[in-house]
Amino acid sequence: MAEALKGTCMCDACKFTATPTVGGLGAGACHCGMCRKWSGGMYLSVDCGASVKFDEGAPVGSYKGSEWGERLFCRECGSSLLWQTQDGQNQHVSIQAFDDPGQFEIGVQVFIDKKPGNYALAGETKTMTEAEVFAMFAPDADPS
Amino acid sequence: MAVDCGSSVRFEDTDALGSYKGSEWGERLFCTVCGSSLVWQMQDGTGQGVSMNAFDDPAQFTLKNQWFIDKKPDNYALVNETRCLTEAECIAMFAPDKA
Ligand SMILES: [Zn+2]
Ligand SMILES: [Zn+2]
Repeated sequence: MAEALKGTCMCDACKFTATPTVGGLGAGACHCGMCRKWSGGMYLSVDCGASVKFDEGAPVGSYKGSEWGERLFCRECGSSLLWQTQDGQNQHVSIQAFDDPGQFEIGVQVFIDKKPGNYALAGETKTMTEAEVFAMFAPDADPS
Repeated sequence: MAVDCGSSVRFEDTDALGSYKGSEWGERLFCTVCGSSLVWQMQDGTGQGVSMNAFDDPAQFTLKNQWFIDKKPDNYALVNETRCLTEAECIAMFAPDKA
């Protein structure tokens, strides 16, 4: 039974709880251009389904970077908090928002073909290209 | 991941620029519309470390240093060979009076 974890931004204005999905996609790194601009590095996140609950009044900003995706961040300090589909499902929460980011196993790297060549993660993970990600999650969408 | 740009950053328009002073000396600049992480700087506007991912070609920069390496969670690491500095080493380097 997964338990709800407490998460917060740098300035603590955006407190929330989230529950990593049992049998979900787990934790991974995204190297797509938007995730890198947004987070400043690679975006490391964990699949929390639709479980995220923000405290009342949290100054959460929203940015819809594509037709289906939405990024939530703290308007006070700029912390990257989560990527979700615009229906509020598929919430991938920044591991760094939790007290113990080291608890999640980074099992997959997505948009690996968009990763700049000047860094790489150590260790073996599954990898997916942009085309493979679209084929799996949005077979109707044309990524080109 | 950031590149040292001294005090050279010029914004075309600062309407959407957010600032967060996370410590007595540091300040983070970000876009309040989309949340993009842009710059870490000293509060006097010097020591600007700009997110490499904000540039068209992030790969042009060689990663030389990893700061606060003792604060890195154990579930990821870079393959890059870099100098690694602990929090204590970073503070001794940049704020010796605070060490
Ligand atoms: Zn905040
Ligand atoms: Zn923006």
